[in-house]
Amino acid sequence: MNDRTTTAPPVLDVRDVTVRFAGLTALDAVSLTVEPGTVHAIIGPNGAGKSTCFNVLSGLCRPAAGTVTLGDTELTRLAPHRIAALGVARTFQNIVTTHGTVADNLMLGRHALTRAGFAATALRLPGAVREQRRHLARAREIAELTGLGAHFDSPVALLSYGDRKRVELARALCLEPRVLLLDEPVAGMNAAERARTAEVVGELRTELGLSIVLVEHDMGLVMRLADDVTVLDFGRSIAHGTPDEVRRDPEVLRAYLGTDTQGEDAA
Amino acid sequence: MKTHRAVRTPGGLSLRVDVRTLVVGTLLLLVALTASVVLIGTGDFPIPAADVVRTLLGEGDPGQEFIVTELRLPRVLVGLLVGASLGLAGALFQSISRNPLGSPDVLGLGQGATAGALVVIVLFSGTANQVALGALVGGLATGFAIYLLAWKRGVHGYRLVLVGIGVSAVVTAVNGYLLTKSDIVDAARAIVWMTGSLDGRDWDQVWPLLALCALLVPLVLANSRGLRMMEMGDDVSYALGVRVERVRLVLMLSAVLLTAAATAASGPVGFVALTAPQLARRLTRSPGPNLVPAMCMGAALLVSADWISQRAFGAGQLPVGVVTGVLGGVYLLWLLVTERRAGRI
Repeated sequence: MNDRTTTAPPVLDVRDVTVRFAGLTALDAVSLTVEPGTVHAIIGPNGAGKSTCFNVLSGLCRPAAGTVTLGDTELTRLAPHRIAALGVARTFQNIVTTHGTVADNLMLGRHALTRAGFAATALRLPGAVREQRRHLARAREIAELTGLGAHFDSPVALLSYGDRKRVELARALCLEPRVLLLDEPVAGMNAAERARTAEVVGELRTELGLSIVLVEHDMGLVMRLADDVTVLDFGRSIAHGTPDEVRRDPEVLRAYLGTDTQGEDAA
Repeated sequence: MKTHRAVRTPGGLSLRVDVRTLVVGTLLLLVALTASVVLIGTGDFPIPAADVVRTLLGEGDPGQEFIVTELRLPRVLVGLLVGASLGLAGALFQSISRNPLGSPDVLGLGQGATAGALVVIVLFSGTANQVALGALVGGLATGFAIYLLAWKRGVHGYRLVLVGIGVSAVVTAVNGYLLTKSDIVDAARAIVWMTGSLDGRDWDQVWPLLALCALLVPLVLANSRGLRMMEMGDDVSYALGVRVERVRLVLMLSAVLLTAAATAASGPVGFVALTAPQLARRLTRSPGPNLVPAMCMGAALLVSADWISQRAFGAGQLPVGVVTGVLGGVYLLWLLVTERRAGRI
């Protein structure tokens, strides 16, 4: 239905990105590469610069130095809506949905892909009607993919916390992204909801072939899903590698995991 | 609980309609049109509603036709257009600033338009059309000043309201100064203009306002989906591909133009822009900007207020702005009190 997702996503490359906020260096020459179709986790203690990194990737924050490229396109100087149009979608830590049903919310995600203007839609021109129907069908597919199929016509306000959080995920998917940025997708969820979301994220990668960048505190989820892990601490990238490599890295143990890694492994 | 219905049209389109919003919008439009017919029939020479409708359809007798089409219809049309413009502008500003106080009355746009009109009246003793032009320029200049002062990598709600209050205070002071400088004839004329009235409005006021509405209303509605998404915050809207700053600039400019043009046509009519969107929102119980209901509400409110002022105090006695303030304010207070009892805010 959308040929953008059938081709492999381009490489997302972050080179020496530095961000300063009034004297505080939030990101200090951070580099990372998200290979096509992989899950790349960014971990680190609170205030390590994970969210700032996301804001740079999605264009909400301009770095003082460094570049972000998606394939051949440099993202650093593009407006946020242009980056979204290039196929980089994101979710936020806190749930921000509009009122109305799941379908209403997902259709907002189709906004950038809707060509028919207001007048054509209001006048129900055949082209606009066809387009609208196509978008609604796709939104329903995405709802089913994210485990929201049964709630498609339910008001978002009536859903459980985990389901509402997945509405945001589904809405981001409605942009037909090639790269998906997930900011703490399981924060605040109970064990069952976490497992469900982890399953969904895993399915997304296999079914849609997306590249996924994941910021998450839940080490169990990171170890299970991630192909690569970048560890940030005080804005610097202190380690990079597979989950197993990172888990054994002494610097990481000292900065982030502490000595209590055994408990995390069991999760 | 909101009622959502999926309506299947013959074309097979599954259209999601909030039934309550649709009903409220239609009812408000009916109220506005009914009040218009009654208002046309009201005056020193009363005309029954049935005759008014017949005349409007072009089948009345010549005497009634003159009174209806030349004297009273333009006045009612100006009322409808001014009310609709103010309702729409208020809904836009309140949605952009995400604050009910962020409406043109509070931001000082009306005051700015008044300043423009006063300059023309007091300093140049201009004609009615020049006064209207002065009001338009004054309103636009004020809107521009507020945007420049409030813009700080995007316009933010509280900042916009506070800057607007500041600008409003300055412009009010200028207006006071201009009044003290004027001679008694100009001052009397200025005061009449400043209270906001539909008296003596004719087709000259209808056409420019109608043209502007015909241009801006579709433009605004075309951007309404972006506006609805912006109520979730700038970051989320950007992430969903909305050109936030451009949408906001287009909508703010439209709202300023609508307010300035409405004020140029009727003088500053208080509280319609503030209360109409709030009333509409509470009646539809629907989140979001409620642009069309707010427009219908503004038109209904203004025409009803004009009818009440004529009915209760006689033509030309009490300016419509006074009644809209009382009517809109009391109705809003009543709604707030009853909603509080019902547990909604």
